[in-house]
Amino acid sequence: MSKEEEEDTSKPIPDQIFEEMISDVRKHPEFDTELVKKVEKLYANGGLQKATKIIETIIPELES
Amino acid sequence: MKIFELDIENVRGIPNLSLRPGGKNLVVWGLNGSGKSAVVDAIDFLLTGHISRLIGEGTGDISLAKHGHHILHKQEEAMVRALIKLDLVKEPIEIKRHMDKPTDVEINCEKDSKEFVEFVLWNAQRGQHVLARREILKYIHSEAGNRAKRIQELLNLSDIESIRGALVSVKHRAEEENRTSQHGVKVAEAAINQTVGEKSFSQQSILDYSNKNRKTLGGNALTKVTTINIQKDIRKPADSSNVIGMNSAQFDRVLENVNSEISPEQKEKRAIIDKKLRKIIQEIRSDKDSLKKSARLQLTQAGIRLIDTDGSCPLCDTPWKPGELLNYLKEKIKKGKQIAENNEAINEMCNELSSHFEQLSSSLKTLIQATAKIELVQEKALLVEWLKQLEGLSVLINNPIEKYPIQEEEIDIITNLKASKKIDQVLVNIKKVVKERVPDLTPELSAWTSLVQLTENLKALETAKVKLEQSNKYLKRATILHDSFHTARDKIMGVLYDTVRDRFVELYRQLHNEDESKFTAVLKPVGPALDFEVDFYNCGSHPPHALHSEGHQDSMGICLYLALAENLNKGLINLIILDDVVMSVDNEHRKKLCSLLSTSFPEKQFIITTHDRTWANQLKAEGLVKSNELIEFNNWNIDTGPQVSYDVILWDKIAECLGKGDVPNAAFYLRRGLESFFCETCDSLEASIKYNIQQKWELGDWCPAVLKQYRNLVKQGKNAANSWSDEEALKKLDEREKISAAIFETSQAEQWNINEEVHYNSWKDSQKEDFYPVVEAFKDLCSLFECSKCGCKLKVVSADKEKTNVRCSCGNENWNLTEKRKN
Repeated sequence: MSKEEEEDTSKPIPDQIFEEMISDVRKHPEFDTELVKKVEKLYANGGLQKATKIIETIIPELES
Repeated sequence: MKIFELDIENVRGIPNLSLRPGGKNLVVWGLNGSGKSAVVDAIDFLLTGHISRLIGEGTGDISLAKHGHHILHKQEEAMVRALIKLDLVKEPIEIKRHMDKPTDVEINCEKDSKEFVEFVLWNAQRGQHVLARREILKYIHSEAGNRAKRIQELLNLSDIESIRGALVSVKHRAEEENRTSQHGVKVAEAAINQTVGEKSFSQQSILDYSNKNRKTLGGNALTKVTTINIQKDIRKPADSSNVIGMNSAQFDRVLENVNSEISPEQKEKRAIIDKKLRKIIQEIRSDKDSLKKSARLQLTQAGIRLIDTDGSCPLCDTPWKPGELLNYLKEKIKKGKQIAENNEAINEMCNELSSHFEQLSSSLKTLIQATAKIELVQEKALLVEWLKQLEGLSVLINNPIEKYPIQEEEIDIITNLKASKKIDQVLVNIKKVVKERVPDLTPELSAWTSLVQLTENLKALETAKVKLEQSNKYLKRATILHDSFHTARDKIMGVLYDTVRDRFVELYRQLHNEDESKFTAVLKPVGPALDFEVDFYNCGSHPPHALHSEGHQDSMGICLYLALAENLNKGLINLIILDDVVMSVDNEHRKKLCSLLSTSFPEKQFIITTHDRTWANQLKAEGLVKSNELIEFNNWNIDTGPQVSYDVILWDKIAECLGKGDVPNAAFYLRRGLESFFCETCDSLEASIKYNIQQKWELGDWCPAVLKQYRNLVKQGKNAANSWSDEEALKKLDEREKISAAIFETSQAEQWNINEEVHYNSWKDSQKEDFYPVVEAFKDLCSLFECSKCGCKLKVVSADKEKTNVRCSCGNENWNLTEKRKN
């Protein structure tokens, strides 16, 4: 296992899932860079512990 | 992270307690109710800010604020403090948490390390370090659909389930909104079809209709119609429609609608529908169960439309394997076929009635406006009352099973639509007055009115399309987020579960190698669920609680937890707390578990609580803890909490009794202590004792057997040393033999098998001064079977059923038993 991979697996599982999800989301034109940044910022401020709250905050962004 | 010092003040059943594990393992044993779980609660609180036992299912009104602190003390008097060490931080760190401020943790450490310490504590907050038996049962016994949830709960990964639930709800909301928007577009297209007089929607019809009317008004033909150009270069002709707000042709159409709805043909049609509806609804209402079944069926039919792509329940988000819930609900609907048919018939008939009601209501509203403008007061009042009645009827047919009028006296309600008997005359009056005041339409005005109507219709379609476009975008984004999350979760959790499965199998095989050395397991996420099956003696895979015993299930639970914890903590938190987890595991496997914990997890600090003294002693005998790391809790009372005794080997207790001149108690402790000691030594040295069917043995059985085996082993060791010409080993064993012979003689231990009671009675009846040498002799005797360096019992090591060595855990004592082969 490379050092990078080792670092990856030492991250909390929810963080790993979130990062994997964001890297996939980036590939879709429906999500522009700004929107992805907003999602990341929300995550950084709250972590997935506040998952529901984050999603509720993302939704108005999605609807606009 | 390892704990070096722990101070507990007024937490749960402990008023005051200081422990100094020094980063080493710690075993706390005591009978039920001795306060040992309060130590677990205190560490749990210190690291997470909550106490796991006080939250979750079945805890109801229990809370940290009310029940976290000692019952005789105030919340603000409760506190836990620890001195911890982290692998990457040189200096020890002091952490402290007070019960009245559970979310604040005080950290005292070097400034440079604070961020890292906070990160580790943030990880610790997830509470992954505590395993209690109730958690083991949760995920061993769970259904596949709930297992992932259970494991996530155990490891505090509930965020994953929480975000999954949120994303599924978002997707459902987006799908619902998208369906509404699609319907909106269809309604707008239907309105255009009605205006242009076509059955199906097409741009060509709109173009033809527009150009026909534009031509009447002298306008050019268009090649494409929009809301902007449809009225371009044409002017509104002279109009008299302001008298009643519409022209005479429009008025005629409205009046015709109303007359048509109350015509005898329509009444007859409604009477037929009404009769059928009454019959079905009467049957349903006469059977209470049928009402319930019908309501359930409606819920089931609605549920099918909302099932998520991964198969989860749309109502409660419970995970199902893809397709399973759909099939289950379909089967349910199939079973209620008659109810389904009835429901379908009711819906169809009510929809037909409803569309007529809406059309009539709409026409009535227009007529009411017209009568107001031409001041037909009485006629207007009658129409207003009729409209009110109609709105009431709409409410009834929206919930027909409960509200549809089926009584005899209500028989004409639906047929006549509650129209007044005077209605025909009123409509004639209105028509007459309108004809007098509003002239017939000119072709130009008719064309203009048609274009205005079409413009409104096109605007409505544009708005509906914009809404649909937005909802498509919303749905697409919600679907991407939903799908990306699920793919990411399956990938990450899949990798984790594969690693965990391999490690789980490895650990379980170590525990059960005697009969399950080829044990395998399946741990596989299926959608949001987690399949967990284990091999049962090469007879295929089965759920873990299907065929294995409770003890095996506990072993699996512990191994699965250890494998998960190892993968999730990654060296940040080297602390594992096992709270009474071996209740159903037998002695043999407990012993193996001790060895598993010390050999497979040497970097971890275990804090183990148990109510079982034998297991506590096994943990010591197997070298997981030393004497001073084994703590006994006893004599708990509400004021003082548990009484704590370090080193259950009891020499201190005996000395304490003798200090008070209490020889009978000292004799009692010595006898019981020796019984426990020699029972375990019999096991570790593989000494043979005479079998009895009651399986009840005493010191008189164990002690001589140990001494005999010890002599044999020393002899065997000397023979081996001779064969290898190992002078040093031979010298050591000679010395050991000489010392042990003297100790055997002094202790007179072998005489216990002659008459136990006589021997024991002579102890308890003796004087303090006479009993001291006895204690010392047995202390010396016991020391023969322990390593002077690590304190662990000497143990026979075998290979291929042949005894090869006698050794201790640290290797300081290690006698070879295998002789050199002669050529």
